[in-house]
Amino acid sequence: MTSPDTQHKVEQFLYREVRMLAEGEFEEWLDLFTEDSRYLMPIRETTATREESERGEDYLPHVDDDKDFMRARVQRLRHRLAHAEQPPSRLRYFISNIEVEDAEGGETGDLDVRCNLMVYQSRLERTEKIFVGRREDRLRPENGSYQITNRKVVLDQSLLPRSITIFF
Amino acid sequence: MSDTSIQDLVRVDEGLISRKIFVDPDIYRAELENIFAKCWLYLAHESQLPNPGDYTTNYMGEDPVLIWRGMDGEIRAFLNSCRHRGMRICRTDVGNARQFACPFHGWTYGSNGELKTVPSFDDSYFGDLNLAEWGLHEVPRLANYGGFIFGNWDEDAGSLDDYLGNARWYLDVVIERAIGGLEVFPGGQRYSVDGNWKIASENFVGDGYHIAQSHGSAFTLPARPLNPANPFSSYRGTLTYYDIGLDNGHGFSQATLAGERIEVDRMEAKELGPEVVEYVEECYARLVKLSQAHADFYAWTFGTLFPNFSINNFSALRPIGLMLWTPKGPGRLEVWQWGATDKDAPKILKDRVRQDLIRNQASVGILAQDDTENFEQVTASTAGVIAQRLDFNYQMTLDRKPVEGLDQFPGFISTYNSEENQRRYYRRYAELMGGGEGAQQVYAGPKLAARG
Ligand code: FES
Ligand SMILES: [Fe+2]
Repeated sequence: MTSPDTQHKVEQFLYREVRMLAEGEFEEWLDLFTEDSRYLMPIRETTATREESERGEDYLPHVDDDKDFMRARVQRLRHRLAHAEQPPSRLRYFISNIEVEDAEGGETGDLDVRCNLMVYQSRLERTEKIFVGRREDRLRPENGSYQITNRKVVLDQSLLPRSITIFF
Repeated sequence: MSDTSIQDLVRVDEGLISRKIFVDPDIYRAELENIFAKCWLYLAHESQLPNPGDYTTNYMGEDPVLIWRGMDGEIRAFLNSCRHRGMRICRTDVGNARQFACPFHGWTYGSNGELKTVPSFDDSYFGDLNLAEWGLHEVPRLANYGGFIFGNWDEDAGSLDDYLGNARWYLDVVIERAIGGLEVFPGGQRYSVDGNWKIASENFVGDGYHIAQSHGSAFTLPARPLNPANPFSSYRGTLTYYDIGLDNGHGFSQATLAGERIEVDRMEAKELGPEVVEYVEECYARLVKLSQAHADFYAWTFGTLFPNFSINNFSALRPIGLMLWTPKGPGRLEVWQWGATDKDAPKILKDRVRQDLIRNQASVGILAQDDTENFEQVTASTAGVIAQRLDFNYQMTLDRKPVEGLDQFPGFISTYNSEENQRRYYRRYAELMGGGEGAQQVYAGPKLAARG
């Protein structure tokens, strides 16, 4: 169990983070990730058991980014020809069920944070897509706030509603 | 399709194609009949089904199919629907099974498709049901070209070899270059696109023209490996591209024919270490064994096998992307996508290829993102009655002859950019939609590598 104070700080951190994404503050958002961070989004398949459905690293994932490529994605989206997100989609992020635990038995001070995620994307006139899943983050305390050292996004959809042009 | 014939809508010789064929529900129905129930369609790669009982699923047109390696070792494909009342037999994407018991009433099918048992056979049917007549509906024609498994609903269809025609010459490059054979990474990406399936297929058959504008943002990124969209960042020479129009509507695009690509790979391999240098040289040597022309060709960039199977391959150091543009009505398609590399490629390369693939032309890849926007908005802005009175323009290089002096390469070689491949694609489309035999183009280039 983490303290109510830590829980509160983590929640505030996550709320601010998704607000950056909704408002397109991608450069500021990138600063929340450590230089050695990893961003992974596995694929989901319909399999006989629940455990198998979340495909591991030996499977082809949707995303496996290091910080350099996350930076490259942002740089690309800023280019005038990145019409996948120009004009920008209107986005609303919902996070809930935020669970905070000490990582590695509390030795490093890092935290393991899980939350549920729902993102509504409205694009141009009629494109409306909803992405739903959970996130698993490893947070490192830093200057009174946190840095993300590792993020896993596990969507529930085996068929994505659209090619993903946004960040989770 | 009312009183307009497909020849009025698809006027390839003028480079004009009616927008109607991308939105009209009746035309779409006719496509399912005349194209998806008649053509050889890609189903799976054999590396996905190594063991008896292994299965995976796919679609042929809108019909769900189960591709299943039987306990006898033979691969078959079946309509994934129970013969009793149509329940989906297999509801998982991939797995291993000796048999499937239908979830609805329990009819049970063996891995060769036979109906083995039905519940209450004696009490309810009084033994009066000929089990032999009620096996799973099998895809009547199944064939394998170098590990790529295709199916065809049409019992009278010609062979897969004839269907692929001179595209085989080019497919042989990835098949024969692969050390230890090709291997598909486990797992497939799937995403939905609110666009017509042909917009995507024709984009990959030969639309190099869109790259500068649609993917311009990707080319501003730093060099590879950071920027997978830029395959030639370390190469300082000149690359001359061609499009290659092939039999039966197939086409490959952005090919180099003067041996440039091996030089690109050699430079990049050096940065990756001696293991990769050796690997590239072996890939090259394997192609030289096929022919010097194969070695000079070395890889293409993107291409489509008619009607809806696209294959990307930039080089031996880069992924082989396998994309199916599965039709889901005139206004929607699903991308079912896999990636492959050589089974015996060095680990360092395999990891890099996997990364390259998903960052590039894939569900969250920086190229597919912009393509999706195009496919969706082309379709959306074509829905109105006024738009449907208009044609799309396919007139680029309309009256150009094939490039001369390249007879060692089969097919119609165009300068790049060109819309010749798209015209060939739609010529084939019109032949099939018109219900005619579709004069198979007679292949008259270099001898094809023999392959069973
Ligand atoms: S639908 Fe399959 S047993 Fe009835
Ligand atoms: Fe593209």
